[in-house]
Amino acid sequence: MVRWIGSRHVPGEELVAYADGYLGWDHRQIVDEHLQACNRCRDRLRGFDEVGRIIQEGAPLADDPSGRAALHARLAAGDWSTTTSRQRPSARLLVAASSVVLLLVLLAWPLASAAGFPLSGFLRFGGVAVRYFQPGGDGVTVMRGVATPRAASPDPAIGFVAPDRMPLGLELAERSAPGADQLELLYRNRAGLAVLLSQVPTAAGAVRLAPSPGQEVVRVRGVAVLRLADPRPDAVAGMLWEREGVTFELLAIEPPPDGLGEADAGRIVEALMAAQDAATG
Amino acid sequence: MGTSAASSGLADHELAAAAREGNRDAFAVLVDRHYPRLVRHLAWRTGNADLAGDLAQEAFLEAFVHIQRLADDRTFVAWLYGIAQNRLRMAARHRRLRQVVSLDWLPLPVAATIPALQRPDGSASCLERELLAQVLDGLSQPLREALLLHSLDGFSAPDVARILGISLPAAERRITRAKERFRERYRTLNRDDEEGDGALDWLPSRAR
Repeated sequence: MVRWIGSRHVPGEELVAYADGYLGWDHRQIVDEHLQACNRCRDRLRGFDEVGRIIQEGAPLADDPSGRAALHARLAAGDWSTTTSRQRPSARLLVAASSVVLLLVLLAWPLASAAGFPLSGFLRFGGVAVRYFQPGGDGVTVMRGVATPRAASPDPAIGFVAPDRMPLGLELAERSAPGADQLELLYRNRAGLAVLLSQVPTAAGAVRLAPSPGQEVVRVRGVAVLRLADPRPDAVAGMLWEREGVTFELLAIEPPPDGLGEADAGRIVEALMAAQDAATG
Repeated sequence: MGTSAASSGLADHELAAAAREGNRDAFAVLVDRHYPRLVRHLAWRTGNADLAGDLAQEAFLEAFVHIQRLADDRTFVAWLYGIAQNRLRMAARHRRLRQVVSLDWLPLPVAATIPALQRPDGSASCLERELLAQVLDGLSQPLREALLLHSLDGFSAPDVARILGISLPAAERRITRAKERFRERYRTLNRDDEEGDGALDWLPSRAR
């Protein structure tokens, strides 16, 4: 039913319906006549069309032959299950994983008590890896099931940084063995936040940050930083940037309930840049 | 399979009807026609090309298995997108769960296949895509999903309502608001980019 007539303008919703072509004939005639006389509504409709054009031009359609072929193969083979790897773990796996966790904790507890070090509780099923570290001496750090000797500091010639403390009360908890190809650091604070910092030498040649949908480039100290979006508002899943020959990837792997705030993530990035400047003089 | 897609002159609703009768070739044609489009939609929704491919496959497989539930052959594509919408919601819930219990969701190492890292190519179309991504990112999820369905995938407002499971007036409102906010944000970001300091003049960005 047409509720506006005369001097009022066409509501946006009716312009949408008009453009989509599902207004009744009489209703459409009324809108037609109004648009002929009203510049504002005509401009508004033109603006709606422009939005569609911008979106179509910015998101051209591209085929995915391999994906289509894989789908066809599954259909032909009768593999119609719609459960993918992302939908693990099932309830049975969770129970099994929990049992493994409990068993390992029970086995390791006497050792932990004797040595006086905490047991890191990050386990994953399928290639179970127990994370623990033993402070001092020839301690061993186990990350993801790979035992590596613990070293004292990263190689400054490569440009990696490993501050012991960072904003938000973050303290260095675990580290991979430094090498020429990668350094991974795990930071935790008492509030339960855990961030993983990965560093690799930047590949030969310049790189350019081009955000995918859901991502955004921000600037910290003049450096372009890719902000990986978190589904929670004003939160980030991670930050990624390249500076002084090192590509940094900061990921909130155990974020607080509201997520890692963008401002807090920026403070961490600034602190790392400052640490890099201090290390390189 | 699927090589007859380009040559099939049947309309979608005819193919859907044939698929409901057990014609797998007909369904294969529907896959060839709509898979790229659905992947594109899901890629813009998730920001993850691999996830988009997985979700698209799951949606098509579910549609194939449950094709008998399709009430109106003429709504096959909207019905398919509705299945994908549900898959997307499930994936979002699983992803939040996985952030707590495992590291498997972590992106591939930086030096590998992060799509955001590209060699400079000076492509103007890349700039438009980046600007579009920033504009869309400024919309709330309900507005963004309605706008993408309407303006990217070409669904009418009634189909958008059907896919999202909302009323037609609600779909019309979301599309209208989304378009208006899109225009405002697009103009703002476009203007900021033109007034930038030139240090990263190939990329629209927000200065700290």
